[in-house]
Amino acid sequence: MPPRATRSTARKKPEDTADEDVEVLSDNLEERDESSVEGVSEAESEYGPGTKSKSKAPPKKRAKTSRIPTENSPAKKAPRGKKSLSLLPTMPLDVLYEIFGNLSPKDIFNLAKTNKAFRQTLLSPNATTVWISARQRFGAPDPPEDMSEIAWAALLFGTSCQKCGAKNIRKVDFMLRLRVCTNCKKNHFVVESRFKTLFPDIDRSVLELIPYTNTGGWSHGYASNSRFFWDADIHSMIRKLAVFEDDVHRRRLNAAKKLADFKMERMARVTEIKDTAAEYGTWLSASEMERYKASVALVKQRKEAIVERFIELGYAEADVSGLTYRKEFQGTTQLTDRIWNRIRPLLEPEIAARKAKRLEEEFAKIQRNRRGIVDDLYKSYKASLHPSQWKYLPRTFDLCQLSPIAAMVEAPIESTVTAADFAEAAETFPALLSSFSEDRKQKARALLPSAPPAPREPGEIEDDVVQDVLDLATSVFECRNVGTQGHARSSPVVGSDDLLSHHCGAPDHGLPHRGYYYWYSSSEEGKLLFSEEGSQVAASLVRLAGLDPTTALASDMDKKDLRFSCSRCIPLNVSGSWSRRGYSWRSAILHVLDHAHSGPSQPNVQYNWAVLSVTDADAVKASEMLDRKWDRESWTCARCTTFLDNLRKRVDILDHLKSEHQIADPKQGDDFIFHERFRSSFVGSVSYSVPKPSKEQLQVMTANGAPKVHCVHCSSVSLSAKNRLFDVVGVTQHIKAKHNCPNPQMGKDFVVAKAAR
Amino acid sequence: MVILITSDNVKYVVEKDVAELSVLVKNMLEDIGPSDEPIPLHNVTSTVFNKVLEYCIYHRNDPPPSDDDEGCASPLHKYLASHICSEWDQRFFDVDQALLFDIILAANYLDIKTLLDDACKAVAHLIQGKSTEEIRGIFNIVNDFTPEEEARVKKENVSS
Repeated sequence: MPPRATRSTARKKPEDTADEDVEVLSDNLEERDESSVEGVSEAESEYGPGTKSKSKAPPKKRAKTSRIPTENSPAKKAPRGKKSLSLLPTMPLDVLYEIFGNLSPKDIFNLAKTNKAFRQTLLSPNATTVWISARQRFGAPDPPEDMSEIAWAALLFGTSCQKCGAKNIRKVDFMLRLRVCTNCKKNHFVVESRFKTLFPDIDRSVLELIPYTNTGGWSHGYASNSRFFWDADIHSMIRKLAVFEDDVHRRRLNAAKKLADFKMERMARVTEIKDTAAEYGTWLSASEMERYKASVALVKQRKEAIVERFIELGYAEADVSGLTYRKEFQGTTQLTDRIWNRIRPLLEPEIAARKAKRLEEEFAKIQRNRRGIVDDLYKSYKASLHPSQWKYLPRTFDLCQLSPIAAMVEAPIESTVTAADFAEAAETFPALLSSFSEDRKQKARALLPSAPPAPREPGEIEDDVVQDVLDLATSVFECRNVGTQGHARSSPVVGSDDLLSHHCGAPDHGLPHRGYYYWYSSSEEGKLLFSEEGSQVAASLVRLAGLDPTTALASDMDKKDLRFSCSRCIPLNVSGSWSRRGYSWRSAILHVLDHAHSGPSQPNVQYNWAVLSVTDADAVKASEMLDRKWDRESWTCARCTTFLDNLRKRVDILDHLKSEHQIADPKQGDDFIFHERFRSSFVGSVSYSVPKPSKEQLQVMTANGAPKVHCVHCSSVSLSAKNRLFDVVGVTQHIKAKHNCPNPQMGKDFVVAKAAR
Repeated sequence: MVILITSDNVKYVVEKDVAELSVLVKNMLEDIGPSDEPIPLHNVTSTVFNKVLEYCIYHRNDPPPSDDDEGCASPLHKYLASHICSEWDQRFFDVDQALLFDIILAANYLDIKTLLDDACKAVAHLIQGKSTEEIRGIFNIVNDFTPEEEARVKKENVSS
């Protein structure tokens, strides 16, 4: 078999007809109104922008060569094999057609715009097979008789307005065989009803010779009963008819017959266009749907290819799948190395960030599992202790921060840490916890104004505990861990016992649990501060108790079990029953730290405490016992570990003791325990009864019991002005307004009124 | 076995079934009958023939191309997927343009239809979906339109 055309033939010089061909084929793509009126051949009319050249002689047979190389012949400029040279145009024509046979019509149009030689080759009648092949690959119907393959391809596969060039216009009106934008439709459509207005001198029968559409420019694509004509078609037809009529007028041979034949042919053409429009439209719709489905499949294929490449690089599918909305994933082009090299740097940073985040989350999950193991072991350890000891144990979270547990929990994701490893480490829990407690105490000692005591010898620990400065009643700390459930705003922590049982970082006030949020809850480290104010109050209370503030221990004060009254607290009147609040020494400190009587209305408050009588103290204690604090689910059995991580109400525990341990008269401390991870204040007011104040006392009290005041500036004005009583807010406003004093002070500008005797 | 000699006088001893993938060689073998005479390949250099041989050996057992295969998918999908061939083929055709075109010419000369089709697809793939400017860049095509012609071409009714 003889070989096909070879390179030697491909390098022939172009023929003289080259430019002519380009011109002819360019004209094929021109707009309708520019087409020639000459010649009766409809093939060249406005409806057939292309030409099948029925009336023309077939083009002269030419040698089978490509003229492309002479237009741009790199082979003459540099040796073959150099990558930068243009080699495509040097190929034999039949090979080129073989290549072009794999392209879409749009690709061929784009190629035809690269240079003159390609344009000439691709738009020449010889290239019709390429166009047919491209069209058939898309399953497009054959062109109408009066349209060339190229014009048909331009109509079917173009994406811009054939009138103004506006982009992304895909909808073809097969009734007019035009693809035009809405604006052009609005500007160029002539509706039949306006024909006489626009063309008053023209007989409307001309419209029967022109194709029309029922879809106007203002109808959003909906068809109507009106007929719309393209204005250029009307003008063109008028000119054509004028030529025929002129011939008739000049009485040329067969002129009348020619005119009649022309009209007949035109009407037949219009009917044919109308009849085939629906068929073409159906194909176009189906083609668009097919295109959409095919492109969706290709996009999916490309996404999968990109994901696969990233997986090969060590990423997980989850790292990439969240980014598939990006335009780099949306193309229909197959992923090549070139595309991959372009898009990889665009995507990889974000994917790497997602991977890092995923690994972080995976590591956090592993850490949670590891902490879970520690938590289980820790519970077993706790279960071996008496429930009264539970309150001294730190949270699992804190335990997990102690070495060697911390190293195991924080071990890299690659290292394998088994439950057995943790079980081994659990043997060190007692030593770890002891060290942890001592560390906390040491840190608390460092907060005290006096220097911490010298390090102790191991044998001296027992004595030192008794003499520990932390145990002094005046060693008052404030916990600033505000916002935790049940935690007072400024909770005083007094004594080692308070300190070691104060674990307020957990979200509950019971035992720790292993919830996600728990592991990230903050520790109380750094929230504990020495309270100078609290220490002074404690000292005054110790003195009232008859003890020495320098030596009195918190436990001594607890043993005294005194109750105090605050001189600043006003009597309470509930339905005629008068009472005053009573305070234990710890709640008295909290009362001051809460600044119960300070604020803008009562600056410079001095607290004066008094020890309550035994009767009043008993009343206060009874009131304390009735507080709703004790109704919380914070109770546990002291005889078993049933309620280790499942604290219950007191009544439930009493039932448990009765049914499980056969204890009919259980005692708090021995049989059941109120478990607090930090000391909480009473919910209601704890008070004792007092006599109703005298009439004179009531006169110098406001409705809420606050003392009334006199204005010092008014005392010299008149007796009535001198005796006028205000509350503090009122007197402040009065002094500012009447006496031009911007910042009234208690004692200087106003004084507390005294009851008349 | 068949002995083939390339234009640069490199001798190849090729199994008959591989050599007969070339219709040119097959016809020549039929013409000369059983013989040990080497067959000259005047238009193919050894560099290119190496690639051709690699392709023929890999595809020696492929079933002959059938027109029926193309009826199973939609025409549009076939076009959109036309550039997707096997991974081996992708790697095979991932060469510089000069060699790719030489392979095409060699396939054309030797009349190896499948190689010619695949190589043409590989070149077409370089064009598919590209704008005019991109095609010029890929094949180093000089734009020889005058500004007026350029404007006219651009105004044509198919956008690039």
